[in-house]
Amino acid sequence: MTTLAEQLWRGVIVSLLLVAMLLASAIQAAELGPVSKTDTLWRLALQARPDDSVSMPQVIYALWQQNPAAFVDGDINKLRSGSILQIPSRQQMLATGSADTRVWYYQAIGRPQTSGSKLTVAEKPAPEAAQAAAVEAEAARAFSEKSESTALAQPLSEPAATTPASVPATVTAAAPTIAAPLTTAAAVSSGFSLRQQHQGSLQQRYFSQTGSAGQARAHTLLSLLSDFSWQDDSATHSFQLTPFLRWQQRDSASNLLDLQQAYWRFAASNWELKAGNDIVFWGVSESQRLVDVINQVDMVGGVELEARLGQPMLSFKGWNRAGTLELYLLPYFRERLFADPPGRLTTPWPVEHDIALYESSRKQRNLDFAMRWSQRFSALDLGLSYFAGNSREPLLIPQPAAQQLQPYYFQMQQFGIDAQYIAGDWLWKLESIYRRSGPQEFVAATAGFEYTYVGVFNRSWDLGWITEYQYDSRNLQAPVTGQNDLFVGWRLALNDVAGSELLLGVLQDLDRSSSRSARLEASMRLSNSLRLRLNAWLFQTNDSSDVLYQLRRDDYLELSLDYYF
Amino acid sequence: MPHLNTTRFAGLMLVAGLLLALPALADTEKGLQIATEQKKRDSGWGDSESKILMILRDASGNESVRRMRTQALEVVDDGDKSLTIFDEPRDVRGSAFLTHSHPTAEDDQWLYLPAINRVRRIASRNKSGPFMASEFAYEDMTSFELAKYQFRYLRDDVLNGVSCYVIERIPADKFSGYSKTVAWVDQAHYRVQQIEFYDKKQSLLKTLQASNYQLFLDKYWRPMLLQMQNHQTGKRTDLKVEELQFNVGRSAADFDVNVLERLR
Repeated sequence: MTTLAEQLWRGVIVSLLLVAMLLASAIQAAELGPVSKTDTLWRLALQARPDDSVSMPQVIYALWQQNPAAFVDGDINKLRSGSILQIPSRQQMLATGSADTRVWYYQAIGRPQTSGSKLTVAEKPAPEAAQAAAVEAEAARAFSEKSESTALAQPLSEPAATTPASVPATVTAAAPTIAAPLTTAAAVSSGFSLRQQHQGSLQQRYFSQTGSAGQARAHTLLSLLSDFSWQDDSATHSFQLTPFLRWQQRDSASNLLDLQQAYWRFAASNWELKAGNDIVFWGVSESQRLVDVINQVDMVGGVELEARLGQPMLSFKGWNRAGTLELYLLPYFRERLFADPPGRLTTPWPVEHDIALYESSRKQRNLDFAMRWSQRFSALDLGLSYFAGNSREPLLIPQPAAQQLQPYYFQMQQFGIDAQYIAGDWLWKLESIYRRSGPQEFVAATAGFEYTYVGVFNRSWDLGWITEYQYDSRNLQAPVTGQNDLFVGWRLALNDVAGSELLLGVLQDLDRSSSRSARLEASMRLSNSLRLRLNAWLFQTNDSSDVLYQLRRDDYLELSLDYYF
Repeated sequence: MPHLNTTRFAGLMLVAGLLLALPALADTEKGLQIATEQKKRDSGWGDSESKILMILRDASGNESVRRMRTQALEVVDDGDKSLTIFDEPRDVRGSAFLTHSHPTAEDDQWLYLPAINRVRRIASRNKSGPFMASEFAYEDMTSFELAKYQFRYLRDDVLNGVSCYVIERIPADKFSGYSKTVAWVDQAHYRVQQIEFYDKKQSLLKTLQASNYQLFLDKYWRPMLLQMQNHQTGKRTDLKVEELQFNVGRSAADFDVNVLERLR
């Protein structure tokens, strides 16, 4: 535990350093000018713009802030000719959001925004009234004196004419307006807008035979996924709420109310902070998800183990040329959700959460930590990840007397790598983990490719061929299906109006020749807001030590109707 | 003197070949000139945002609707960046498609799937497939870049009362779905009025008609209606630009892969 705490602490320090690095600005001392009569602020800003990740209003705003003396009365439409502009650093330019500077810019040039957004024209970045009056008087005087100034040309129009005259050197009043922060503009436009969308699903599962304990063959599931998203106009603050509700006809343990997402996010141009519940996706492979470790699995969601539960977290994500860095503090643990035997596709005995054991003395309140760095090297995407905390996979200890299973959650540490390489129509994929968890220490990997034929059979159909090899160093002792298995699959997209898709896949165990599973996924759109899906699974094995053995009577077919509103 | 004869014969062939090729060369040059002027007149627009409605009609007249919002950023010396957020059909609502295009290299493309919060980088070599099941192919939706074609001026023509240059464009990309396209570009403003697309077997596949041109920023003409008719299937897609704005303050930061999850 101490080592874990130490590692955690070290992780926090490293992350703080990295954050500091991301936010630190390299100070540049470049100059522009002297401003000639034919110059326009737009043109000068074009020269000052370091790269196109900085918007023009950001450049202009930073130039204006940095060079108060270069503008008559702080008016960006009155640039003094002869002045020399200090070019602010890229970091300074990015310090104020693109949206804020845009609002300011259109207001400053005295023109309503061309965009149709709901932003009202912000108040002048105003000083005290008296000062404002003084400024205006001075502006009037400056104007009447025909002070030499270069007007700001509108983008893409001809350079504006200059008003020639002599400028009194004394009129350098650094207008107080310049100090006014842009927050006034943000404050004026701080209305949150709500967007919402919902998905209701009716699922019917048919099993090929009754369960080993006589479970029913037909199961109905109903679910509702709602999505509410509030965002302020500048998209700096947002709130996301995504509740998921599920009802299972035959098994109350499968019923669920989960907050998949319930977070507040602060977003800057190249970093963001989140607090609350979220679902994080890591990885590239199709047949299983090894590196994806932050969220707990919802086993009721399907045997493909793709459904996840919302995870409480405090997360930071930042990116620059050195890649993307994600840091997660996970203060509360979600237990794995298993159906009880009546719900099928589960363990033979119920998993009793109330008697769950933890290696960590803090149990569910253990502070888990995760991080990931990812980078793109032209056609190669690479991710390196680390996780320390409660293992998401419990060891299930049989309690024959009570006929139940007791989950034991070890502490675990995991190093992961995920990579994808694109070469023409080929996608090469690799995921690999090294995990230490309780008594176990192992390496697992998924490696393979996806090749897509475009326009097969002289139609506009796309046919993808997927092959992935699954490896686990625990061999036959591995409590997973993919210890030495080959997955082969075909994905057909018809590219028709119904958006019809079909996926067929077979996972063959290379150690046990009679052990395999097969899946079929098909879907098509019935109308603008209705989609019909069909899923089917076959499980074959005669080896009682195989994980598949408990599913041997659970071949099923599932029809779902999804309604989007 | 068979040797001399051969040389003389070869020389004659060369001269004849040059004479024959000369008009073709001139046409190639004029074709490129017109295309260059067309591109020049459409550069400097910066960034834009639009709302698009697509109406898909099959041969028997059944209609289906697609709605999307797009953002675009002009990138000097490289291909443009674009982002499309889908609103309808509703089962793909919130999905987003990001492209960093490159005139000669393969584009970088990502698809964001909100249901699983996953950003997936996708292979982009073959862009001949249909965009959202419409009669527009992905390659029809990409930005016009000179390096993507070989041009040849064919003739002058009057189309719907507008004087046009007719230019043949042969795609440089061997994965293009077309053997060639023929574009009618008006002589006054270098606006595309019509394009004919020929499939790999050289037969006419589709005709695009661009209309309702509007002037933006006093400089850029943009069609508000694009109609694509497939002659081989009888299907047709109308693409209507419902809103279009320039200079909305987008920068490259808004087209970073990492901001895909923020879209809504």
